Amino acid sequence: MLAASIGFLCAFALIFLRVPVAIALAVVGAIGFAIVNGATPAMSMLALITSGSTMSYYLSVIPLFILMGNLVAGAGISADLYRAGQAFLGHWRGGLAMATIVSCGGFAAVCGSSVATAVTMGKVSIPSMRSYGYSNGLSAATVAAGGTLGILIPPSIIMVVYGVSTETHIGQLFAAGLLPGFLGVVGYALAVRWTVFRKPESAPPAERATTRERLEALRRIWTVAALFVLVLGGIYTGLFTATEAGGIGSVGALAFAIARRVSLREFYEILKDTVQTTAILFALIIGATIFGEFINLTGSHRAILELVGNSELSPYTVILIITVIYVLLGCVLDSLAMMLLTLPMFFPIVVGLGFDPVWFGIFVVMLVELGLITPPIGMNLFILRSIAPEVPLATIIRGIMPFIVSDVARILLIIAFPSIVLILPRLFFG
Amino acid sequence: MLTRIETITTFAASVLVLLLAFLTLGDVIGRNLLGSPLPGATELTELSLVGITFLLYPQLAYRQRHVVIDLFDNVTPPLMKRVQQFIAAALGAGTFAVLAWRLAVQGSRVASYGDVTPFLQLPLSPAYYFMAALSAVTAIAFLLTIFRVPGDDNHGAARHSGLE
Amino acid sequence: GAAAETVLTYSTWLPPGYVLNEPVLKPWSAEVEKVTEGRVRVEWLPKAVGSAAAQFDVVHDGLADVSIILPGYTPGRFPIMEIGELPLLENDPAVLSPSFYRVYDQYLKQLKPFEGTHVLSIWASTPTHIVNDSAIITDVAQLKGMKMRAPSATAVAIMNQLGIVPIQKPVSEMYELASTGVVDGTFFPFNPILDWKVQDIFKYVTVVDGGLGQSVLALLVNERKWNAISEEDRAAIMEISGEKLSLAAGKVYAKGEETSRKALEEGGVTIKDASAELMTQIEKALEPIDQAWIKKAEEEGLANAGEVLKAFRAELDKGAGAN
Ligand code: NA
Ligand code: NA
Repeated sequence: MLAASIGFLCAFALIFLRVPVAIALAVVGAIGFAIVNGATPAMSMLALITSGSTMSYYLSVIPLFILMGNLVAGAGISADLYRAGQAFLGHWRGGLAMATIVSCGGFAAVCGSSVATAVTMGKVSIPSMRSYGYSNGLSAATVAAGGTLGILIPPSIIMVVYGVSTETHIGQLFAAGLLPGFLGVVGYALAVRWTVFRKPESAPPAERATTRERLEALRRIWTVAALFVLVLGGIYTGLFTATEAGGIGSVGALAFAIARRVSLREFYEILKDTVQTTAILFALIIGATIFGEFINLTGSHRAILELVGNSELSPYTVILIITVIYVLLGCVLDSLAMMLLTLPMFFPIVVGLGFDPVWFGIFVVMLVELGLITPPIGMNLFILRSIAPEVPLATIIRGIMPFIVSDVARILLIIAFPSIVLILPRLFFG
Repeated sequence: MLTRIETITTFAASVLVLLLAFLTLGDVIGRNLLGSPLPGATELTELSLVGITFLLYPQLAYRQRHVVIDLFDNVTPPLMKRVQQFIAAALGAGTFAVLAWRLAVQGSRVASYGDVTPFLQLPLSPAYYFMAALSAVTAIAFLLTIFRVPGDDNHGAARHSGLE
Repeated sequence: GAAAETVLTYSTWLPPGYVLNEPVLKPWSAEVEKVTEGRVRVEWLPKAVGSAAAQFDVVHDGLADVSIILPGYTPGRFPIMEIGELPLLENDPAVLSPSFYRVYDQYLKQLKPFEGTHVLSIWASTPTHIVNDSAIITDVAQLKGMKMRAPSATAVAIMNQLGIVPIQKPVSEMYELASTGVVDGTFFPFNPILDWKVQDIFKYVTVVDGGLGQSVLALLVNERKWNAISEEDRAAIMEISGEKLSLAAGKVYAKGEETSRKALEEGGVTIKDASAELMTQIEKALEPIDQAWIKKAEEEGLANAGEVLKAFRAELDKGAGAN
């Protein structure tokens, strides 16, 4: 218990000293392991974990889903998605913001990352909303929040990482994200409505599209639907496994990118970005696994579980405590780092208390989503700064508040009704 | 020179990612349409991950692209930043130096065990030596950043994973 | 005060519900403490240290002190141990397991396959049968082109001999592979059919006399840690390990198979013994598998590999007669 606590403190200290998170976790994990178990085993552990985590068949989905998302983004699908949303919702008050949310949801169905979703959709929707006189606060916050759907609606890289590090079925996680993802779209749309209700001037109405324009817009997004159906349909009909879906999806996206005439230069940039992101992520996973080996050796989750058992806390109190810890950590830590750092501790506790691993996965993903938009460290807030540098951070933060409320409400909802998460995976996988 | 090496390694890793995608496709098509999966697809997948990641580690270190938390950057005095830079680079170099050593040891051990992949019977030790060699290069790359002035963004520091 | 206590950390990589955990391994851990009067204690870690395939190195290097290794996970590393994975050996795990221990003890141990660790016990698990979704197999021709998950490298060779298309995927994907029809079947004993919940999909089990192969498992302890334990305590621990533990494992496997078979039959799964004709066909098709092992083992320094295999089969016949 004591060793683990000191370990967490040291890891935090190094991380806030600006040591790369992967290195900080590996160093603390190895030194902690050495203190508990001797230096030679610790050194050997570094190599065994590094090689074992790298040569891991399951992790192959990571580069492949990154590639798929990058290809779809590079092919310029975002403009079509946004136009379709605009054609159907644009004439409502706040309709363009809702169109942004819905098209973010659509993009999320083919892209596994929130940041990519926010960047890609932001580039098309922000200029459009601005030209119709939408306030900066609303349009930037809409994109920042809508982008977080990227990791909740399958495919999702975060779910893959969670699935691999906790040995939870990735196909089930994907299925479990569908309903909460849909609720996310609805919840964010309500957040838009609330903002517009409070400040009607933030979203002037736009013109109504004709039926013909609507049909034309729908026609242009069939490829997204096709890719989504290919990936999820393939998994659930048995053409391929969830692990293989990344490969199939990225070849599909590649065909699509070629059809859209992505230049060789752009193509190389897409690949380069893919391998860089992959290596960054693998380094993080390795560091976190090494840290997890140390925590495992201390046996402290057992101590905590006993503590919880003796103190007669209800399992839901524990979940609420974990929620608070994640919300606080999410304010200051990179969300992925946060998840990898805490899973070795929280996962065995939560499962030990009788919660479903798939449910906990979706719960964690939603807390990560929240962390992406909570100040001061919220990746999607920063992303908006880079797409729309003229919008002050304070304006984005004010605009994001209704979306944070919507996130919190959704998290409470799945705590109260776990079947929102579990019904689809049980339907698909027994 | 450095840029050229970077381009070559990035290109090699990119080719591996594409191969990975087509390997999966070939396996799925073979299994579903031709009644025979691609021999050894699983083990080739695992081996290509070694290439994709380790080829990139040296430049992630040198270009400082690993995920860092820069929450206090605006309030950190310049001298402290130099200390931070020193600590980060030293720990990075140390970690990868140990890795290089231990992966080489593991490589020779795997060679003496005679470990092979299950289907194609490819020997596994070269993969370990490859990881060891690139870890050594990565350690050097970290060392090269040890006296760098932090916040000098010519080196293209990336702050977050960008993976969420 | 009490004498210095040696704590042996146990790397818990087998799933919590693994059939041997409660009836064999946990009692064994408690027994170790008892027979050494508390001087040696086995502590189960919350989860595995390192990956399943890394367990030998994990024990060898002392990351954890005790673990179970499956030599089948590291092809090429323990070729002589593959004798325990061979097909057509024995139906009853309670006979197979201790017989395999005796063959190891008598013929294989001297080649030091697990050097750097001490072998507490070793056993072969439950023989597998043909489990599939379409029909009881009555002729080898039916197997041609069937897609089946191959549990090991040895199983891949066996499937190739029988004309089956081996699909190498982790067992953790078993339900997905089965429910979505990626594979038509697998080689499984009865118990895992229930463990992986595929009894409603794979409704046919063709029982092959002697089985189509099984896994070998070894319970190892780090050598340095082992040698640091006093000689009498080591002797006391071996007293409750070795062949005794191997037999206990075999008995639990056998009992598990019996109850699982009953549950499967009640659940509507058709279970039939392979016909004499099919057995003849299978025996003929699998002849090269024995030969391949003999050749490999001879290359590894087991000069009389052919005789060792013969002795193993004789041991099995003897054991089967005794029951
Ligand atoms: Na997604
Ligand atoms: Na945050």
